Amino acid sequence: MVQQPLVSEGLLKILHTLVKAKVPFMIVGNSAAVMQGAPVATIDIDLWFGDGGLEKAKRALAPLNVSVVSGFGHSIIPPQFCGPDTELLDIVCTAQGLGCFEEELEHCRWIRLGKIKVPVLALQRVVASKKAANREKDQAVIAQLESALSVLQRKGLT
Amino acid sequence: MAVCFDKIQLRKLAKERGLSVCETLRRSGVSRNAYYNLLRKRSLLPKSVELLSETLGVDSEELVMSDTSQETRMARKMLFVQKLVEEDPRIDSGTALTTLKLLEMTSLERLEQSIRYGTAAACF
Repeated sequence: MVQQPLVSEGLLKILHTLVKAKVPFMIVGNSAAVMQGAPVATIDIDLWFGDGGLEKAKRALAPLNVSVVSGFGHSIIPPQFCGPDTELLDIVCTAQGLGCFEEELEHCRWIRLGKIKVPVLALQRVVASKKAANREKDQAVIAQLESALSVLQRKGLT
Repeated sequence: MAVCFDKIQLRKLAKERGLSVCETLRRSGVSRNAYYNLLRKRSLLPKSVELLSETLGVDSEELVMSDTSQETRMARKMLFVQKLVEEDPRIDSGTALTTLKLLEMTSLERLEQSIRYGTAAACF
């Protein structure tokens, strides 16, 4: 039986739409690390938006029937994408241990995903954010990320 | 096809440095027997390769014949990681080796595989 890709054409279209509409966003977290070669597992693709980015994303994605649902009052749950092919996408509101969004975007890596390149937080910055967050699940992967980073640095890929 | 030692490359590199093959062996502390083993046997002696490459000031991969077989590509990766870990023992060799293998995939393939593993692990 042929497996359907989890990173579907529809999901790629969402990311490509964001890039084409010049929405300020970047892929962060373990998914960013994986895209740069780090051998870690992930269950989603984390998107960090700059100021006004989420509003711009809503407008850009409306033709794809994708919307964003915000929490109520002082919700601890970040806004969520809603619509086809959004299951793997997560919205990150704050990124500990990092500079402001614009600074990080300037130094991000543009990595091909399908037909278009998407902005991805550089691996050394992923490590910095995980060290700052210092959650139990982050501590488990930091050593692996640092080993992978050493390989990339030696190969001149970062 | 196994990984072969490139004696022609050794001779070339030694000559560039004003050395004979014998002198290179002597300075590296590699015995003639070990050298002949390198030439005869179908598997490399990593320590000998390292010693020779150090004397000549080159990466040990330069002394391995360029050959695109799976075994050679794997041997190059292993030598690369060995060197990395020797320089920084904090680096996990398994992780470094897997990273090199993953870099041969596209980022889309990597992401797909990672999410598949992550989702499967989350289910158990």
